[in-house]
Amino acid sequence: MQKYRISGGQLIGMMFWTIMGTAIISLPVLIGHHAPRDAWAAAVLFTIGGIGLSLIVGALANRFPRRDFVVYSQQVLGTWMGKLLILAFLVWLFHTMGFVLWQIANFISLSLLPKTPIVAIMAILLLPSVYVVFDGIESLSRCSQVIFLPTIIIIYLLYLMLIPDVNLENLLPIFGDGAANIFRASITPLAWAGEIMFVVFLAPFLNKAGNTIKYPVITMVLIGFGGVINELFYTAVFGLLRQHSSNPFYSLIRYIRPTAFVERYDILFVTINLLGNFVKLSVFLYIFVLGLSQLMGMKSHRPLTLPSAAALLLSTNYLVNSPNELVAFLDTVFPLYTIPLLYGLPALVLLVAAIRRIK
Amino acid sequence: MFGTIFRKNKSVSNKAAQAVQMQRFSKDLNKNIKYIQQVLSKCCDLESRPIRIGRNRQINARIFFIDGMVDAAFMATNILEPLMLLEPGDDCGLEIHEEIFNSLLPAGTVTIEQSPNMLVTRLLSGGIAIVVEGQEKAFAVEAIGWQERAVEESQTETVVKGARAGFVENIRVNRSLIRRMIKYPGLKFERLTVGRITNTEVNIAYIEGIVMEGLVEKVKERIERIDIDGTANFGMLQEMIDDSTFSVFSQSYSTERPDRACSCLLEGRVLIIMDNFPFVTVVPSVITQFFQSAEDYSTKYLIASFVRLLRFIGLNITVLLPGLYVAIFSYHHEMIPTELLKSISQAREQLPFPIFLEMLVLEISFEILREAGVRLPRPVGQAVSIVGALVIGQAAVAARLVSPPSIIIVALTAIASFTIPIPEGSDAHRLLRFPVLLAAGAFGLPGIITAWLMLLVHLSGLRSFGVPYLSPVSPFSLSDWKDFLIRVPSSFMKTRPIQTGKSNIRRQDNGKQGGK
Amino acid sequence: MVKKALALLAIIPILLLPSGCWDRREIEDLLLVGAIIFGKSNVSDTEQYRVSFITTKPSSSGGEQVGMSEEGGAAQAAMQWVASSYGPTLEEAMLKFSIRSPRYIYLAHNRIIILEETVAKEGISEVVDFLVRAEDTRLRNYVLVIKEDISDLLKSIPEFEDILAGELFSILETSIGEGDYHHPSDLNIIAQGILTKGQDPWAPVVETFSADQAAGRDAGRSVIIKGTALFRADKLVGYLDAEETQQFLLLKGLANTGIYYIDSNGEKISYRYEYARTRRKLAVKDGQLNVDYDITLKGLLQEVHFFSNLSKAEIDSLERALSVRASTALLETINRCKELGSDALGIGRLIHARKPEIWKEYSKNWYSIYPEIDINVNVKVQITGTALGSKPIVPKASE
Repeated sequence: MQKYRISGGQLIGMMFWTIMGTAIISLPVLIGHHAPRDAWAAAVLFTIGGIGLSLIVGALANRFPRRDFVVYSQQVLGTWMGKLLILAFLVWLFHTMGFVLWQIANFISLSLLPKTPIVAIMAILLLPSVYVVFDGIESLSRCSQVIFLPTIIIIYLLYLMLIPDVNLENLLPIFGDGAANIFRASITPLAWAGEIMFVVFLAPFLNKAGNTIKYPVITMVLIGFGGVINELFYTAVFGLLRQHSSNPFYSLIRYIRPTAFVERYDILFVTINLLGNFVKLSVFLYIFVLGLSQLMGMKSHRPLTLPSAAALLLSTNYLVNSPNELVAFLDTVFPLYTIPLLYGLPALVLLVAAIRRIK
Repeated sequence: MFGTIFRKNKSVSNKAAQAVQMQRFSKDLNKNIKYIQQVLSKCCDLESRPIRIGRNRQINARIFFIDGMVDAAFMATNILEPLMLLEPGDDCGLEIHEEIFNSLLPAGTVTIEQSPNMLVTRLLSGGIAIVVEGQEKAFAVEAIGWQERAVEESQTETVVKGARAGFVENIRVNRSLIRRMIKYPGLKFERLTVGRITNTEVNIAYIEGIVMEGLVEKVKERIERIDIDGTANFGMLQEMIDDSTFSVFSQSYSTERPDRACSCLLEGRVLIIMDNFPFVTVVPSVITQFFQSAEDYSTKYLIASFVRLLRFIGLNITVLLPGLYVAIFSYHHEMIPTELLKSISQAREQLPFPIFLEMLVLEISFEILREAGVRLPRPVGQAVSIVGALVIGQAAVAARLVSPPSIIIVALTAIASFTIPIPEGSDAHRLLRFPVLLAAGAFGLPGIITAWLMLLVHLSGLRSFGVPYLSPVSPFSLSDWKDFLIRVPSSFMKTRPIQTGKSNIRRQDNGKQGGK
Repeated sequence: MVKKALALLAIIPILLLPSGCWDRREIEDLLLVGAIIFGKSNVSDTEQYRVSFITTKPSSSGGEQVGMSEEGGAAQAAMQWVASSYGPTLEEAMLKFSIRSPRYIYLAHNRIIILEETVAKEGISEVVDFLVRAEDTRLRNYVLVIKEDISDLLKSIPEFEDILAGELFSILETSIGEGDYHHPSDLNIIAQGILTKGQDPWAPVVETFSADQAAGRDAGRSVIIKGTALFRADKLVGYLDAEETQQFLLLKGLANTGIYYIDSNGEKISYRYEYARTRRKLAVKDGQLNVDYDITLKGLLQEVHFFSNLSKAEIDSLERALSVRASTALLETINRCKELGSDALGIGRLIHARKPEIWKEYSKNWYSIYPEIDINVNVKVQITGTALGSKPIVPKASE
């Protein structure tokens, strides 16, 4: 299973878009709902939480270098407990993947292909992801590496283009929304940051084992930086209007002042986002298939790829009924079970391993 | 055509050996002669002549050669004359073949054959066979005198400022062209034979100490694994030794220029040279080959870098432009400036076909024109294809079948595809634009992205003799970027490409610019 | 097995091709709307929304386009297509176009939104909400208000661009760097203005007028942009004329160049500033809130007709005179805003930003407190030069 080694840079490339892909689409609405002017502060909290989790995750990976998480967590927590928790995680993963796929397809539908049925969009989104997961971690890491650098450069170019429209006064009064609101606004983002714990699954593939802490931390810093800038811009350009937009990212990119050759940039940025979401979807699918195959003790993850994808496609039918419902769900219910699972599981394994002195 | 003849067909090779097999020569001269004549029966170009070796001794012998392949003058002066007019020593007795070999055959390449079939092979390779009475061995002297092409400029890879020599069909000449450029004992040529019927000689060339570890063994192993009757075209062999035969991208590339071949050797790559084939194959080959050409090293680095970037743009245009055009103008009209939209909209008024269909038809027609142009005789070919393209294009526009912008896009794409310096690359990309076009027509920009991603995934997993295809992009290696899309000045090219030259990474000393 | 499944998956896209795919639209099937006009009118005794489009109609002359500028006005009129439709709701009014237009209504290239007085006076929040929600329109669209009846507007002929919408757009765009008679206001500003307490929307006003007879053409009407409309929350409350607009834009920090002139001995001296910096300060003095505008202007004297030399003392006195002139004009505009009851200057927002605790009290009845707020203007005029000429050109005194 671990023939191929990935480098730290590839790991960062994979994890960055895994979290950012839909964070960029969905989080601003949720944050803006509670704290429109101080959204950036919520983003800072999100970064801090993420870094905290990265430290835990890194320490855990360092403790068990080159061992599969599924295997050693069963060792640490006991076979049944371990299997149960891993299964819970996989169920969470499948469920989340479902509405992640829906979110991405919805965004594409909203911006590029309004009349195409969502199922068709989801099918073509899944196609390259299935292919890359089937090929294995080697293809996945290389693709992510290729995609990573150009896409974030272009995305940050976007913000450069909006600088003339920034009205810093919109951010005042600082902390005018109140600390309580800021905390409330950062809860769902913290759940999103929990996805950094996927690193435990990918850590066995790293070429330099035992040095795993810095990669998730670097990734979180990059994401956090991006997130803070995002929120700053949304508020600075739109003021209170950001609460009234169902997709601030999209509104923002549509607002860019027309330039000489390309008048409207929204399609460019939706494309970039689509590439990033390809990485996200592929990483999710890969971890799901990997985890499931390791849980069942299978040698290779390949046979599970296509059935999982098919199941995913079918399940989205039942998962999401309307975007508003999804937003409300993400705001209230989602963090309640996600944060304990994603933060708790690695922390628990680390703690118990430390207590029982298992190496 | 060659493929059908030279398929793995055991019956063919068996038929040739259906006659009585003779494993070793017999002492009886006549038996040997009869055997050779039987094996080469019905070959009208087989010539033979009885001689007597030694003025006094008069040992009976026979000479065989294939008319048209040997140099008659050489044969006369260096073989017949000494054999017939000189005298072997008196004290040699049964070891007369030693004597003949050592003193009576003043020629460079002489071999002693014990197996008649080997002798026949040598005969067929342009040798002169001498069968001697009373000896269980025979001699084969190489005396090649056949007609072949002189070393001339390569037709497919022309450069403005560079050597004009190109490889020819004769493998020895090719070897010498390489040796002349690299006068180093570490430059090794290993010989292999491919093809049961054709017995084609294949050489593997590499520089010991520089070549990538394990590569030579891998190449040898893959070539030796090939078990076919024969081939006249290396393309088939290229496919057979590829890591992944099904990919559009070839994992090796060929060049007709010795200077290019030599710089590849210096990078730690391996050359595969095949007799009768003027192209030399280089392995491993990765994505950087799509952007490099020999010309880059003759011009200044800034210009070379600019040209490389142009090639990169050209490559992307070749694959993506038709698809983008269709996607933007069918699905995503917001992206273009209003004025552009208005003018194209005017150009497309009252046209019968949707953009997608129009582009598809135009692209296919262009490919047909291009393929036809290859077969036309040279003086006529250029004119006809230009005229064809222009006239047909103009007429189509005037007849309001297609719009001028579409013609422009097709022409631009076609021209861009010629910027790719290696034919394998340009063919692959020309083909790829069709799936992208189809995807664009079906789903617009997400379709193009999907197609592009599928391509990316495919390339990510592709390896060429163990080297990942996408290096130096991924795995990322900053030092290799100095020769990828740009070219840094020569004094900065201190290291070989990481993947192939790992065993001997430093190329030159800390850049002393100018004279050394 | 896997290969079969993959092959199946691959076939799906191919199957989709002949069906024409859901989203594909050929360019020639699009109706490119350039400007949308919203109004209200009485149709058959009910108040209905009236939505009008100004669109491009590509000329279907067939074949290559040879220069078509010979016909001038008439051809240009043919390039443009205007129409109105009525409906009880905005969406319905929009969709009604399809009964007449053979093409798909395509709003993505729309650049101008014009609000008629009829709908502006009643409240634009419905229209703005509709526009923000619509998928095709962008927040970058410029918003204009029109006082008069739109029939004149719809009959106007653009003088430079091919359609009216392009003309309006270009006029607005060139103002951004060039002058201070008007400045575009886009949907973002309007929407934020409606939503934010303490900041009211404003928009330039478009008018038509009779083109010059001397141009030799048929006296069609052309468009100009003159003045600014001020809103209170989402209702139109009044207009500023051209002069006042200049000052208004200077106060908002949007002006780049502008002119002040003073009268001296019957001669006019004009001063053009090239650089303007506007700062606002909030101070609490004796329990009273004070807003101070500090404006710095730097520019050149463009018309100086009678000074014989420009010594430092003269320059200083000119600067002072100009400062007074500017302050007066600015204060007048501020008072006018207060009169109309529109806080387009964003005073409330300033208080909210700098002194949130005071804002908490004020925000409850801001519009009654607003006219009482003490606003001062300090203008500092700097004359940096006299352009290319130095001494004024004056006939020599006859001996």
